[in-house]
Amino acid sequence: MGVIKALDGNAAIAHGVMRSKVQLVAAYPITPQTPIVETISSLIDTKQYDATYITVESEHSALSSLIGASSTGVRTFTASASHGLALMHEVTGTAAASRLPIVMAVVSRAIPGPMSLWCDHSDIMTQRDQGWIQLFAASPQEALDFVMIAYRTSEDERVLTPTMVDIDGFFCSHLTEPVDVPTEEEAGRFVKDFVPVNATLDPDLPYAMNNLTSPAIFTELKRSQDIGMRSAAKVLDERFEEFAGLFGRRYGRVMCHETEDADTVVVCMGSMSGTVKHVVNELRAAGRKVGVARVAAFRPFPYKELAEALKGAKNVAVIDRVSGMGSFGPLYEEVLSCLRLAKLGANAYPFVAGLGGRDIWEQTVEDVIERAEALGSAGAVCDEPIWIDLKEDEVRYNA
Amino acid sequence: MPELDLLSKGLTTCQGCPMELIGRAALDTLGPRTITMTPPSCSAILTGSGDETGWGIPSVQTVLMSLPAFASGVSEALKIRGMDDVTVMGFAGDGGTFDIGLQSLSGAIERGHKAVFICYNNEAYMNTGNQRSSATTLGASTKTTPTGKKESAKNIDFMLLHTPLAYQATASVGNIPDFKRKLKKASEKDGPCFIHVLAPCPSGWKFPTSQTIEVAKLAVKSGAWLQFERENGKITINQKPADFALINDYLDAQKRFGRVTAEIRERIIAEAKGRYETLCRLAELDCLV
Amino acid sequence: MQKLVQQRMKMLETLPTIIGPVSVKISDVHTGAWRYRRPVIRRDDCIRCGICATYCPCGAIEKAEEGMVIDYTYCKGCGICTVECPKKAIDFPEESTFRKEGE
Repeated sequence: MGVIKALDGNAAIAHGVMRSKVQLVAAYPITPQTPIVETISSLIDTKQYDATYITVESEHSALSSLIGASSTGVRTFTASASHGLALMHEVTGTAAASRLPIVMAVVSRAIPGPMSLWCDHSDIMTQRDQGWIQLFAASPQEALDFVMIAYRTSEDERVLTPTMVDIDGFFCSHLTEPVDVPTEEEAGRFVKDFVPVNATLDPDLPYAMNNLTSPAIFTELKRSQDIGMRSAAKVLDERFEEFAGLFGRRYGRVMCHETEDADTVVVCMGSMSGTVKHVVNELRAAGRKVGVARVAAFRPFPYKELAEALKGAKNVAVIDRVSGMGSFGPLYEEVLSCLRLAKLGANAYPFVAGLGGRDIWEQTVEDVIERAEALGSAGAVCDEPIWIDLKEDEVRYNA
Repeated sequence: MPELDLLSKGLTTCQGCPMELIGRAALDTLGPRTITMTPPSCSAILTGSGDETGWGIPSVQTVLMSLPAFASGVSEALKIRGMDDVTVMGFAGDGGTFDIGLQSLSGAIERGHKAVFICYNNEAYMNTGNQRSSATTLGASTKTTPTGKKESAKNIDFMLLHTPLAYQATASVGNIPDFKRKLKKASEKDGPCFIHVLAPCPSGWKFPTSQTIEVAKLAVKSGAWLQFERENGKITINQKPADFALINDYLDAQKRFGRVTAEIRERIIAEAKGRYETLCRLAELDCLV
Repeated sequence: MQKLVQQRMKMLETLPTIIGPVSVKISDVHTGAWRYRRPVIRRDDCIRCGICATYCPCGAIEKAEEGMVIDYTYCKGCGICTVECPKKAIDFPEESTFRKEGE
């Protein structure tokens, strides 16, 4: 057992970074991520943590300097959100293609506009196809643990792919809970000192990194990246297993609750899953066969594992915390692919909820389940997402 | 004369390219314990494509906006790894330095990382085919200013006088021994250094390929380009302009100034004089950062 | 020529394959083929000052036992050396005159 501390999600991530023996951190403040970098830089400044902190002048420079440092063979970390992640967009692709095991915490906040400080997943979803492993933690404890697991996964020579560990802005980042912080010694049994396994910048080895790639080899390099990303599924499973053995906390790429015999399963990600779980327990107590499958690893996407959770379901209600404008939310699209790939015939319904920091209440979840079951019994098909908790009279229709 | 052949000779830069010569002279000065960074630009030709590179030292192609940030990370990581004898050399053009890369450069300088930032200034976006940058001289025609640029160039040297650089210098491809001396000095500093090198581009400035060095020399002689260095709070002027009227010859040597009116000519000369006068006054001070 | 740079890149061949966009070979384009005029040093007038080599963008001129030597595999024929030579000891004839002689 480690030491139990009262930490919010941001502080938990900072502790995860310290316990992962990160050598260099470069970050720029942005709400709601700022406390992560404040905590880390204070620990470094007061010599409680031996690492280098680069106080960059933008998020773009934060990740750029990490690419430089990671290429030179040190373990690196940054954190960002919303506008910051958007500004980084150019370099997230570079980091992934350069096969650098960088870990970044994303404290999800709606991407503008309209301008917002509050949570939804529109920021991290812009990074969906940039080639980063994406883990969604639902609590401060998970956030800490996922950071450690992220380093072990990204640095694995089968993977060599950076990871984003996502927590929901305010709902998780500013929620204080008791967190079991591994001691340095315990953590050291899981995350060892960094030993680079790929090319590093070293005057004795004149490698040229990240140069212009011709059409003759571009596709092959992308496929190599894809193989690294896909390998992360197996490596994550191995690390979850090893982590459970050492620390007693068991995680999966999909985490299910009451799905075995459920007629209706809610699929969701991030902090809302606690509320969904609570509603599921209440409805179960009332005799309703409902369950929840939470996707913790959005990339690589756990198609098989999710299909296993959905195989007995009649209705699948997917809650996306992003609008999926003109189409469907990204999680819903993945669920549709998953059902099709596994040849499952469940009805799947797309719900959009919790945008720009709107709370997802028990009632919201109950409404989602009611609507899905009603649509399911009518055999209805949805050709656009259902905006739950929408104040219809506030919506402006073009003339 | 190059002692080390650390940069390949078989590179596809244009005939008479000043950037290649600056890169070659830089490696000759710094030697093999150097890591270089180039943004997507003409200098990326040195970094190569596919599985080929021109550098005999490790190199990274950065993104255009943030070469200095990449260099910051490399510099700090080298410290962590105890590799104190390695020089980090940023090698960017005017676009990557004056324009899109300026914020990143200002950050890297302010934070004080040990790195040498070389800017080879060919006064336009030459790798994309000659579009004006903020470094383009007043009156010069480019693909985006076909009738001549209406604005004066950004004076990045004066801007950077008030930043905590460990060493700052201007240099010219027309005087390689001077450039090498300045680069050597920069590599021995324990902080950020900036060397701004004039790089007349035969393709973009439209003069014969054999004239690269002559045009650079004329720029210095006429006062169109000022040669100076700043160290320990003090500016030293390396070469006094011979005669500002020579700017007429400098403009006439380049077809990009073909449409320049008498009025613009006067403005160019007056601005050059003004820059030199300012520099002379600044050189009397010893209170710069 | 190309000795040091080639030697340095050669050692990379012995190392494990790198994952990602990494170059391990030397760019070695025989740019001499671009040349339409050829710089030719007049031995008797050359004082071996080395200025031509200092200002050759391609690094194609070296000092050897017999004097300054131009590597025509790489010389692009820009003509900088012919202009910078303080003794004007470098001629710059059309490349075609050599081809006529069967080179």
